[in-house]
Amino acid sequence: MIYELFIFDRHCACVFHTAFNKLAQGGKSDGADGPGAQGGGAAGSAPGGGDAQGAGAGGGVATGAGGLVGAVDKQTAEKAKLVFGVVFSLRNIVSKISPKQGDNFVSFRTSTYKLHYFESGTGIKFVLLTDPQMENMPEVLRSIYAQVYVEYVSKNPLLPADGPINNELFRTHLLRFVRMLPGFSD
Amino acid sequence: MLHAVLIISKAGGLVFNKDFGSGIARLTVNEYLVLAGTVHGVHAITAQISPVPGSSGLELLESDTLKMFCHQTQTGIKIVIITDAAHTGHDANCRRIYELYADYAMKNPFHTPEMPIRAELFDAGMAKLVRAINS
Repeated sequence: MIYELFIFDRHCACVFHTAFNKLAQGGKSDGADGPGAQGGGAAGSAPGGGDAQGAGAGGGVATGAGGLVGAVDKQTAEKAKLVFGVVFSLRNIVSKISPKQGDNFVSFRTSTYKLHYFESGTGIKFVLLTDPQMENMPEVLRSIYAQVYVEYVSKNPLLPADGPINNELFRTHLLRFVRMLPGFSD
Repeated sequence: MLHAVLIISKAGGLVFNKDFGSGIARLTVNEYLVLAGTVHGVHAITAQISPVPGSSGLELLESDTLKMFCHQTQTGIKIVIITDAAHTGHDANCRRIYELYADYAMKNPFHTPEMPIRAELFDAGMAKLVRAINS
């Protein structure tokens, strides 16, 4: 089961978030964020500080909640900060205790979920939450980066270099890619 | 291959640490204290960011070359072991260490809770256990 995906840019801000099998949110299962999702993120086209972060983080989840868009946004933005804090600390721990240079933090698990981590050479961080039975999937996150992010975000001349990702094509292809993964909704 | 053992009190303080061989970087006492504090904090936050309710804290951390396993006991003490990536049976190892802790630290009338463990029998038992695990 795949739960959530976070993308953080090199300035540590959450630029994209989406939930795939919405168990925790109590909404209907499926990550197909309809056009309504755009509402939450549209304001984010003016990137800058915490505002952009909030809008970007909320973009993925806004649909399920209907009228409660604002609340969900804030909640997700808070969660994104916690996720980043955890990843950042664990990355530090790994680089500190590892005897060899360039050891990468790959994943951690608790009793109910597993967090997979991948960082691109340009400092874009991908965080995927799945159920704890999933194997490590560094190559999956690398493909999300190489085949979806680079194709539909990096190569899109209309998107600002930094700031939240509000790109329907990216969202569609990401969803298509993730749906194909083994164990997507087991 | 087990490289290091840390025992963290329920307040996040380091009460025992020992490394075996050169499988992990050599850390100063201060760095071990920081490591214990960080693990304690991250452990609490990982339980909060769960997409499914009712999660435990951090259990197994994996990097390219290392694994770190954290076993939290009913009383809130965390036993952390650092091994190489191929190691298995982390949970059983931690339970054995907890046994040693119960026998030689908790049952020791001269041991003060929340304070560093200074007991020869505990050290000896730990050395024996790690030798058995690593052989």
